[in-house]
Amino acid sequence: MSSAWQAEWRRGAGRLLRSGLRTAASLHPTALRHRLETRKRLRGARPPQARAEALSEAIQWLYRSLDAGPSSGSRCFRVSGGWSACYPEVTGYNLYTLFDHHRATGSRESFERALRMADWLVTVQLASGAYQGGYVDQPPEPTVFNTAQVLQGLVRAYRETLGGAYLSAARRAADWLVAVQDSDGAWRRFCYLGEFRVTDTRVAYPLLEAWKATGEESYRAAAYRSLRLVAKMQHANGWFPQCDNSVELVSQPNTHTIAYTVEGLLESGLLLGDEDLVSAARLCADAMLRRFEIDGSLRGRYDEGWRPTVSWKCLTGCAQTAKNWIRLYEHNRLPYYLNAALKMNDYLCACQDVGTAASGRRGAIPGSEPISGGYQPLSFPSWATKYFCDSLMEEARALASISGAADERSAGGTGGRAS
Amino acid sequence: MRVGLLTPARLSPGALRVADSLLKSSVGLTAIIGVRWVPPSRPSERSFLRRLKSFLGPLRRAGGSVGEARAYGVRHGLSSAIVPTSNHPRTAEVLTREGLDVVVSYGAGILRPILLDLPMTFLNAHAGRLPEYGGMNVVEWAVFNDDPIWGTVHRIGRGIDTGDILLECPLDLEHPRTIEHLRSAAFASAWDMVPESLARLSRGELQFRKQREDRPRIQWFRMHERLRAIVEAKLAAGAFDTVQARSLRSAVAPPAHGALSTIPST
Repeated sequence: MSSAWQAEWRRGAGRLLRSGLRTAASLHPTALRHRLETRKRLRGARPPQARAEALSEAIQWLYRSLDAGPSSGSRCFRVSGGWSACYPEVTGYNLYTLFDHHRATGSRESFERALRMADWLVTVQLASGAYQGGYVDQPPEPTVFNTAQVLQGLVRAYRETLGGAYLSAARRAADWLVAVQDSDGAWRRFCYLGEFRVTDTRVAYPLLEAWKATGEESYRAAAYRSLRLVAKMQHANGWFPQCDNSVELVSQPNTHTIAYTVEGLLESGLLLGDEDLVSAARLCADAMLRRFEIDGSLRGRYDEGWRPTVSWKCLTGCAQTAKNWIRLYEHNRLPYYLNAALKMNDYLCACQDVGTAASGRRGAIPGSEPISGGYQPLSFPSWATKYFCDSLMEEARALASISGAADERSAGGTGGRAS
Repeated sequence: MRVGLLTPARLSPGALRVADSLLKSSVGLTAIIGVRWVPPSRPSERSFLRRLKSFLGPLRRAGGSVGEARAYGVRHGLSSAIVPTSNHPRTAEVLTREGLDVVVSYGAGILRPILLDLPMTFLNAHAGRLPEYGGMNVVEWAVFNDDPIWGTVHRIGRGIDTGDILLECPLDLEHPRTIEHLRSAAFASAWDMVPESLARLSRGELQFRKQREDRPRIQWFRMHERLRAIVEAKLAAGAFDTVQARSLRSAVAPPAHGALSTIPST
């Protein structure tokens, strides 16, 4: 009884402390200025930047995050603390974005920087083949999720260059992931919390990319086991249990981790041609879309009834979700996905910090809106800006495909449904 | 059949048109109930200050305009009342007192169980085929998808555009070249279906039927400006005319789901 009371007291004190810290953070001059700027743009008093400018500013920020130190890894920016150390996990999937930017715009700089990032990743691989969790100035603990994100970057670098060093590093990483998986498809060892999380669909997806690149069947089998396990856990309304990157808030996951789960299921489903996995992703994406359209925004956390439990928005989750919606639109041509993503990208453009000359903030997407919100408060995590770039590039591609179809029709094509 | 019209107290041209057409029809109009305030449906208008502004707006203009519904009732010898909101207990009381069989809801917002549980039918006209085109901006969405625009008269259920269907058919919209023109033509045409459907209901020629479950139920939301521009371009190029004309031609044949002949726009 007494220990239960103590635990309750500790939880209450923790909540009070977090709330106090958020209040203090909201009074930081940068937070106040950012909030004012964002509100002006959201109310239409100041026009948000055009999409091409927004993408260019965001990519320039990603470049600066690479240049902030001697190594070519991605870094984050904290308002009180400056640039962080390099983050291998994020470097892995950020280089994917730079390759996409190269493909979309022909930017040679993005291509070369992506290669330098991949080269750096090869140098920081652990002897086991794994990659460490967290930043490079933290103890090098091999971590499943982080290794998978790096794996994805290495596979992409191999596909772009056919460089053997990338493939070799990717194989070692993938082999390690397969070796540490439990027989039911879950990863419970070498995890961030030492517990299974459904976000590991975002481990399965890079493994499938490795399977595509190498033909190694064990990668596909391991990925499929994990995906089936997660799909079985999904609630009928699309919500996922065991989805948050914390123990105390696991009943109300962050949209960042929900969107990771959806992305993993969706991209894996598309790679495997498995409509069941795509449907599982769609069920969750549809619930998020409905909340976004009805409420006018996507809040930071949702409980199992899709009720928002916080007032702040997780901008990383917003950008990831917009990207997922566009990918669904590309898959099934249902235009309400693209419609919601366009609105979400409007919102993200309004939240992008372009009113400052400060190199750590200009062009970046903050963790939360308001910037003092509960996800990465007073920080500009590079994965928020990465997903923002992804979403803008996907949007441009989707809109171009509509224009292309219209041009075909006006040139005497047969016409047909857009949906 | 006793028919009532539930509509904002400050009568819009559309509400006047519906009231007039009901009056002229064989079923007639028994009562008009004016709603003083309809809460905004758009999320951006839901902040406290905006809600307050939208509430005070009609009160500021009260010099006769809020009483338009009552004045209309007096002018045409109808029973009339002004109620605070659609889902107010006073509204339920007025509707019950009038002993209405059918209440046509025009622009009165989302109706809640306090009304829907009353022993009468609440009716809506919707410029979209159901269940595929429920929700907002369905006229634009149909053009975007290269689908024809249908009008549907349906019972108001607990979900958005989920109630049983009384009548549905493709609309004759002439040749709209802008979204504004298209919307006004589609809404007018859909609402013109109401008097005829009520007349046929009263004669026992029509019955409510459940919405089909073998077709996807989609709730559409406000269309983004980028997609609206695509719709504008399609309308300007006349691409929509072909789609709608094809649909109208096929509607001349015996209808698949109990639809009647086309209701022309006026």
